[in-house]
Amino acid sequence: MNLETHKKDQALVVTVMEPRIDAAIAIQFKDKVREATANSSDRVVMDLSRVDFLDSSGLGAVVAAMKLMGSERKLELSGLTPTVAKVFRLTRMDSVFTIHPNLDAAFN
Amino acid sequence: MSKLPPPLPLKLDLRIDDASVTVRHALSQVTKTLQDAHVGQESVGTVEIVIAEALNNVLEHAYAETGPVKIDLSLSAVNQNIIVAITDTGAPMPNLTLPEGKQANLDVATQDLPEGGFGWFLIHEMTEALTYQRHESCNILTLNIPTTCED
Repeated sequence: MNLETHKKDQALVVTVMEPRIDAAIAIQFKDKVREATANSSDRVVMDLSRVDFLDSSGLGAVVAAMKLMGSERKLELSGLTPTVAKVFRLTRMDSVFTIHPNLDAAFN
Repeated sequence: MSKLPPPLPLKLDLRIDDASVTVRHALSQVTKTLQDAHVGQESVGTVEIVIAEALNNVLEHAYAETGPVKIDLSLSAVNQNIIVAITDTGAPMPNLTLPEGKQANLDVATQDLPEGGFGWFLIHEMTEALTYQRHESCNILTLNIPTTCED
């Protein structure tokens, strides 16, 4: 379960380097994101542009990752591909997260 | 009078058991079958989500405490509708009925947001003619995913 992180402006960008966030990796995803964001800035932008598929386990893992960041910090999402966007939209989770079309939009 | 379009030329039968064929492998067979039949990408994505949710549910609940796993997945088409049947030998659904899969209440504090329970909601939203039967110690789930002419 691969993540890459880098700082941009005052935020931490977490790029998910996996094509799928599903039942098979949901737990590792939560753990890795928690480690990566443990001591980070208030603003975290998760780049999902490399993720083609996300099921309800994956959605739960992203929600859990946001909860682990606590109420003082924001988890934003960027680059949702069509199937992933559909899952967020149908479950109305697109109203819970700030979602950017891509990283440029997240920082402009 | 317009002619009905021909049925999608697709057929897939897959057995998932302990020894082989993980959910990911089954889904990649499904998406390849759909793509080979020129099903549009949006419908491919929909079918993949629905089958992922249904299979994950079977593994988690029908086989929660018992093995061995034996799941049959079949994919076919009637006109432009994709028909999916999933049969397993696991435990029956509680009350022999399909979960309602209600929309979760998201009007809550962040710390109270649900992390699960979206699966059946997604299945209901994305399918038609969803049925569940218990027959001779097997669970049989069937569903229909319409594809659009634009695909």
